[in-house]
Amino acid sequence: MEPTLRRAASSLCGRCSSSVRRQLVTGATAKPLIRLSAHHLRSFHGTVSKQHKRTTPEARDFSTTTTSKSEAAAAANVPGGALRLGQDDLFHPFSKSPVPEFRRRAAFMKQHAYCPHPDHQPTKLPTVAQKAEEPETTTGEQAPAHVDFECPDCGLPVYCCEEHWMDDYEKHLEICDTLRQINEDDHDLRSGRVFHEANLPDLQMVEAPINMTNWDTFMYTREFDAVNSDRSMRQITRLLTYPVTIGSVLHELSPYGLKDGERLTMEGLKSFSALRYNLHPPKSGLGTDVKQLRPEAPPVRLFILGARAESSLPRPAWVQLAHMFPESRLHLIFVGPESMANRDDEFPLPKRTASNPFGAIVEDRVWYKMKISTIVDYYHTLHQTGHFAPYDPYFDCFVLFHPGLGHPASSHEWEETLPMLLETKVPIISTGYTQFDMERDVEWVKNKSKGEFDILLQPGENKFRSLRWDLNDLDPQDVSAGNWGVWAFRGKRYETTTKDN
Amino acid sequence: MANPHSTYYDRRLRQGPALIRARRPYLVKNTVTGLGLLAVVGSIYYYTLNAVGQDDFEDVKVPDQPRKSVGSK
Repeated sequence: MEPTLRRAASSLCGRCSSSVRRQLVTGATAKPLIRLSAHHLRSFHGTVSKQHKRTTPEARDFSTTTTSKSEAAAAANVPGGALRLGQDDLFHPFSKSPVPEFRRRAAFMKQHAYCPHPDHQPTKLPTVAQKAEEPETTTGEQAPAHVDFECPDCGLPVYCCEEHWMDDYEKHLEICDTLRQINEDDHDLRSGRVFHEANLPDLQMVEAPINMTNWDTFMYTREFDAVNSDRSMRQITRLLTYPVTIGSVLHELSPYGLKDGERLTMEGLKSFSALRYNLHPPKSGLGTDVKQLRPEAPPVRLFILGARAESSLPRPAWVQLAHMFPESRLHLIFVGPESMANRDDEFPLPKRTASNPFGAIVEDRVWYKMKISTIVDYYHTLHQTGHFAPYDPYFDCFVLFHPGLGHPASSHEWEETLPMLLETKVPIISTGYTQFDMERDVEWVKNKSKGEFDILLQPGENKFRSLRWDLNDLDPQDVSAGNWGVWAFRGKRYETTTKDN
Repeated sequence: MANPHSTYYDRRLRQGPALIRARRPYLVKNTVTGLGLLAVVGSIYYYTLNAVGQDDFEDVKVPDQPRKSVGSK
């Protein structure tokens, strides 16, 4: 996809997609890394050779455009072409960054983002719920102005001039530390260091169950290599949050339970137990011998609708989901108009034939128990043809990663889809960038379905959210975290009950 | 690999930051359990010693003077 087209597509899906899209570039950088460094190959030698190998893909992964390639190569005058930033040299104001991509981003922000100072007329809807006790913010009469002044502490252009920045400093101080962290994390990704945290573990020992209390216990019991620094932790959780969020809700050792404060509802237990029946099947005595032939259950289908960043996630990260359910087969189906974003090397799409009516890209054997299909189309189009019907609550689940259901820019796209999803009575797991984003989605579903849905998992903070914060280039004040919150719902079921006498 | 968790320790087998973070949710509970076990064991030990210490061996008859050894050559 051309960069201009990609930018156009990024404005499609509302508030945060541009930050996600930037993240995709990140994902692309990490991709060759993870592929190179299989867990069992880890040795001193392996690390050294990896450093050598990385020089070429590094230069290529700065951007997909040809012009920027040469620019990046010119900027990186280190021998070998790889840019090197030390761990103590990660903070650079964006406009003076040694990485050309950040200079471009700074220019982009200065062209598109508006100054948040209350003297200006409001330019956007609030992204954070207004506190009741706070006095009404007075809106000024000045015309909206683009940001120009770069805060020296966080290095991002946030206000239109120094006076407004000084005047509104207390407000800025609330997010300044986070913005600085984003700045350093972004530079860390382009620093050219070796990403040791991208060594993902292989199959899990059967006797060693996973502890999903939080990221640290999960990574310890899942036998990851130790990730000691917080920065590495932020980088790797940004990738792993997608598979692990699904796994943490569906797994039988899920941290969400029926107890008070654990958010799972009775209806949720019913729905997820049905799925767990197939995700954790008993040992059947299956083997290679003729006598050990056993009937096998079909794969559990996870429909990931409105897929964007997650569809271009490095496949080893998705295989982690298969490792969480070693006994079952999984079929991930990415559906959505943007599901091929940042997968430029897989174009052109296959022809729409009778056997493949939607031109799905099928990646069979990503892992011997996992298959990934990608379909570039709206889900409601697929649903109307009955291509995936029938839906079975024992085998199917919908996942919406930051769908922006209630976002004014994207909710009209979901309006047609939602009744179909609810009609299937299959659990729908949904996430949000922030608390506000998630609650807006819940409110929207409540209004659109007229209450005809059951909450399976109460909306709340995701235990496996991305620890890294993301920036929205169209509005630097708007900081979000991938999969910050998670909730699940399902179309209401009316089951036959006996009347009490 | 012998121990999948070997990277969580440094060269002198001290815990690394990742392991300390992973153990944090259990720190209080494990400490309380440890103290509880220590209290039970300690109290049993203390009680046993006390109970044994009550005995002043008054039922053992001790002769006034040591017995002469008979079979000396």
